[in-house]
Amino acid sequence: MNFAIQAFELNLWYGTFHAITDLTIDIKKHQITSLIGPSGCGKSSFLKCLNRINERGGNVTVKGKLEVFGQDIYSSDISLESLRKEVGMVFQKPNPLPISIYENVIFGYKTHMPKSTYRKGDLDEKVESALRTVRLWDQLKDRLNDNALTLQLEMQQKLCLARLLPLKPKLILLDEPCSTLDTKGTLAVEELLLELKSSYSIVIVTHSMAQARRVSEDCIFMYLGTLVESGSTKQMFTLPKNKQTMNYIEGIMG
Amino acid sequence: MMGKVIEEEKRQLSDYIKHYRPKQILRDRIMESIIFLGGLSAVIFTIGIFLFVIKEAWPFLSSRFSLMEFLTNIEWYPVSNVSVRYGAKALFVGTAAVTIGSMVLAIPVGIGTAIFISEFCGPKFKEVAKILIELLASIPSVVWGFIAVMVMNPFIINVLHEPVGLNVFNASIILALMSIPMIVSIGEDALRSVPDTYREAAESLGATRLEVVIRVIIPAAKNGLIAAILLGVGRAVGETMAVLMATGHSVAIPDSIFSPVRTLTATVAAEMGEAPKGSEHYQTLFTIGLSLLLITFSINFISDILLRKSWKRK
Repeated sequence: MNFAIQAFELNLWYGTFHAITDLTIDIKKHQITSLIGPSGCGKSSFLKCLNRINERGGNVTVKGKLEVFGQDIYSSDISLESLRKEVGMVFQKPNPLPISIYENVIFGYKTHMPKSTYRKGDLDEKVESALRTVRLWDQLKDRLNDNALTLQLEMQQKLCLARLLPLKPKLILLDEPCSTLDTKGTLAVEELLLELKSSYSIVIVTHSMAQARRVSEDCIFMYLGTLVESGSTKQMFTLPKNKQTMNYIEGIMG
Repeated sequence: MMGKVIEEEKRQLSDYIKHYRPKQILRDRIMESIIFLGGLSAVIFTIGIFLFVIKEAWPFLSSRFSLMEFLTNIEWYPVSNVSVRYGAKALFVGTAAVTIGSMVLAIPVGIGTAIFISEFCGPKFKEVAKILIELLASIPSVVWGFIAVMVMNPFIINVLHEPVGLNVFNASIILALMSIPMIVSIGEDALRSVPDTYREAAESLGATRLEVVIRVIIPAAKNGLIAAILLGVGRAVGETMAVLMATGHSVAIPDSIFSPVRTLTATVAAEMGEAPKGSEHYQTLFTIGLSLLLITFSINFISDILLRKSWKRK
């Protein structure tokens, strides 16, 4: 099976507001897929279905089928905790926890692994390897005990990515991860994503056409809660099949 | 010619600026000074109370007073004909005993309730619980005293088979009930001020609600929670009427939680009426008042610093 995500006639309501209508889409493994579209088009809502974090607010109704790696994530025997171990998420605003850098990186791991299964040395290794992957290790190795909130935004966002890695998630979701970063930070995060895609499947919501173009193999364009067009990014940005897609990409709409 | 026109325009402009909305600006000035006076009065009253208490206690403090006797002697005979003794040790111990006793009960219950209201219960229950807790806070302390005498007292004697029903245990429970609302309401504020993004972040990593509370929310709200506890302690130390009625009012070092004691506050309240103004007895009571003021002041001061710290981080 080559798909990381398969949605079939997925519908989502917040209260009475119909946020996603009949979304049917397959998303491939081991690549970066970008979700684009104007604000309020349902792309973040879809992303937040994939780890079911949107249910925190209550008042959410979902109908249809949504499979992540062949597993129906809305079936009753799915536990949210185990789903979120497999499906990590980076949020729009960097949200490290108000604890030390070290504890941030290892938070998820400690949550899911029984205490008897690891020693302190294992944790140190995990932290180092995660921070090396996101290229923070050299800068942060001497201040692992500092509060993570003291870092600058770009480092915070990289840390938010690093803390997913010890859990070895299958799927990483990114919700406009670069919207609070400057150009340099954005490029640094994109570079990381390109490195990570060989080991993880990545879905990124972005408002930046240029970013979608730079990082993603496939691209999904949504508008008003429905899927308008999906396909390879290259093809979509050169020869969009749909008029709306073309208008959005060219900046006429949205 | 041109220069003149420009001069004229300048003059008009400065007139315009000078006379811009004169009424509103005057009103603003007046309001500002009234508010300033209000703020100033709070400072003046606080300092004034301190000075007044010191002034009333001063003749005793500067002559007969010995800190050693005051803190370490248990003999409190302020009106003895033979030999007057002002040992307040038993009173300090009494205050400490009921304060500690009440906090043993109030801290877990109060913080637990705050966590439940802030993190676990639904919005409807939250509304109701908050109203009820505020109602609990508004019960006058003399009513709590009645409960101590009429409900707790017979309960301790008949059910727990203790000879005296008015004691540390009784007062601790009453004081706990009185401080819990304060601990809950300030503790809940502290927990609520933890940004929701922390909860979302921890939950997105697969932590359960309880893990989020223990590993993220409580550490983040730590200073606010400690401040809530300290304010509860301050309430317990300063409470007078209810402890006067509940403790049994006996000057003695308690040897169990069922021993009657007497607190600093209750001593002042009970003896003030009989102490002639300006007498040494009167001055000692003011010395006790000064000690209480110093205790509660330092507790409030510490909790204030902690609260400030917990806000600054956000």
